[in-house]
Amino acid sequence: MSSENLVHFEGVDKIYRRGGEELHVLSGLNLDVRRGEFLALMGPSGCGKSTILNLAGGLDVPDSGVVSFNGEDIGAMSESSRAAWRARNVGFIFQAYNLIPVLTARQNVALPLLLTPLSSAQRKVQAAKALQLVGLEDRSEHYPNQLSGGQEQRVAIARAIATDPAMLLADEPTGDLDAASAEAVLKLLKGLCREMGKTIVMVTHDPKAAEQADRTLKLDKGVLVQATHGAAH
Amino acid sequence: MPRIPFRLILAHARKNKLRALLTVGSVFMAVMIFGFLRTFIVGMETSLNECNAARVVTGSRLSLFAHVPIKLQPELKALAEDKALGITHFTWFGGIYLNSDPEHYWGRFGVDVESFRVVYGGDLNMPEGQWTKWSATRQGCIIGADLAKDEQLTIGSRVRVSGNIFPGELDLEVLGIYTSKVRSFDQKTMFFHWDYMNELSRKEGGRADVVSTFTMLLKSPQDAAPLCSKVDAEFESSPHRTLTMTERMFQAQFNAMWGNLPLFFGILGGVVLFACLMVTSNTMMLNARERVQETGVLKTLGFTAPMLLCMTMVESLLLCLLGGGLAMLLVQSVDGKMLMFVIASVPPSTVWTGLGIAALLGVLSGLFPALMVSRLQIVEALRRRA
Repeated sequence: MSSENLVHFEGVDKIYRRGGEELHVLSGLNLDVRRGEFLALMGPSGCGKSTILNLAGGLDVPDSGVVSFNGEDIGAMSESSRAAWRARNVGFIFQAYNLIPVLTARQNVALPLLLTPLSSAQRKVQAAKALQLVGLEDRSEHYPNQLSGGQEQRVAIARAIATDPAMLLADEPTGDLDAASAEAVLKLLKGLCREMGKTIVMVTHDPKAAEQADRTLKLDKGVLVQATHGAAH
Repeated sequence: MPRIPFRLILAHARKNKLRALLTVGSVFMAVMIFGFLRTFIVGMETSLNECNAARVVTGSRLSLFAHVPIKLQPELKALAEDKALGITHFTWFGGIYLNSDPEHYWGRFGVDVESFRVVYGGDLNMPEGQWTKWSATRQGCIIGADLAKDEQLTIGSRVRVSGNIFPGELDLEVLGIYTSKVRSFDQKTMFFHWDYMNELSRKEGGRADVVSTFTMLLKSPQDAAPLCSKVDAEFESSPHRTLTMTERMFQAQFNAMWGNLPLFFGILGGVVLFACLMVTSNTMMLNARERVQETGVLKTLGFTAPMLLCMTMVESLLLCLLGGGLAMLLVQSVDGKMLMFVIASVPPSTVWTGLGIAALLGVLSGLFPALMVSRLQIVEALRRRA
């Protein structure tokens, strides 16, 4: 594995078992994600895009093969070590935002900071910085149901970057947004990649969204079938 | 060390205010019932334990409610020889004050003031002037401080009580208000001159020259048992067979009229607590199921299974301890007050047991939801909707 690669998939198989039936979602997948790269994953539903995100983020482990991050085998970690590793290294952005509805924007952003050694005051400052970065400092005391979809997703991005992780995993981040909000979110993600050096892996169905990435990989039935380079390259 | 997001736990409770309120309310009710039942039983036990071991009570062998003639007093005194410091008598008047409502139903006894003071004076606090005035005033009475407060009576108040055991209407003036030094002597009773009551009853054609019980204060508690046997043997063949026992035994007999209260209350309390456990468990399970996706998000962010287990347990404990704490505050507020026929006694052990039960409810009702939450697979949880 080259040192410029942050994530490395080697011969990864993933099988889901439902009611006695086996579904091979990924078959012998090899994939490298470079440090600081903005990678888009495309493909039909059920082709294994989200499974790649889950494996890269340590939410799931492969049935065979290795998924490593910075040379460290994620699958070999215990569940609690993987949770701690996730808190330090990965930020997640979901299609449905997945903010905690009973917490304000600031409290949502500060939530992952509870897992850091920061003091209460430092957490407040850090959360405020993250909200400022996504342009929502004036909405910090608003609850998710008081925000628009685009604003909710920006809060979710602020939460994902609050702990300053090396990698962001975005699962169809613009899927539920109107065109203008989607553009703003993509611009934000691109900015995070370019200006802050974040490695981003984004699953999308939208070719326009994929155009923003440095590289786009297309999957079909768990196998990579095509790779294209975006406008930036 | 990772922190528990208390803000999130509180926010969840605030989100479902009604559900949280109902859960707290159900624990409050269950722990309150437990607290009052235990207070009642402890009160009964305390009143027994504080009975004077040197006092013996003589009443009719027929029943607690049958009378014995006053003429037995000199005979009892003679039987006690020089072992008794004094002998007095009580007569339960019953009667109706204002109306038949339960709040106006309290103890009313006809007594002989001088001998009453000799035998029971040590149990009461009352100014010397009030004793003197009561002693000299035929239609005077004294009342307990709790009774004075409940009925808003003060020195000089007139109290009229219509008889239902003895005929006639007592017309009394409050001349003294006592407080009790011991829990076996309650503060919700009225005492008045037996002579006045007896004369009134005779005039109205009712029973006269009878009392409910005699009480002797002995020099030594060791003389109590032999004297009880001696008295009852003496009257064994008379028309007025007696039952003599220590004050503690007498109180126990009185308590026994209510049946096996500890067992009954134990079963009742157990059933209520079990029902409450079902309610709180249901609430916590509902909460956990509604937050499946949120649990997935928290795990994604790096919260571990033990932390999520802990969060669910803390939420459950908080709700239950809030309900239990409020209940025990209420229970503690009745300490020293009359609860039915006993003086409520709320020792710290009752409070701690109540809080312990609330905590146990919290642990038991939070356990299964907490395990469910901690075992959720992230990918599954994120996929599921509440």
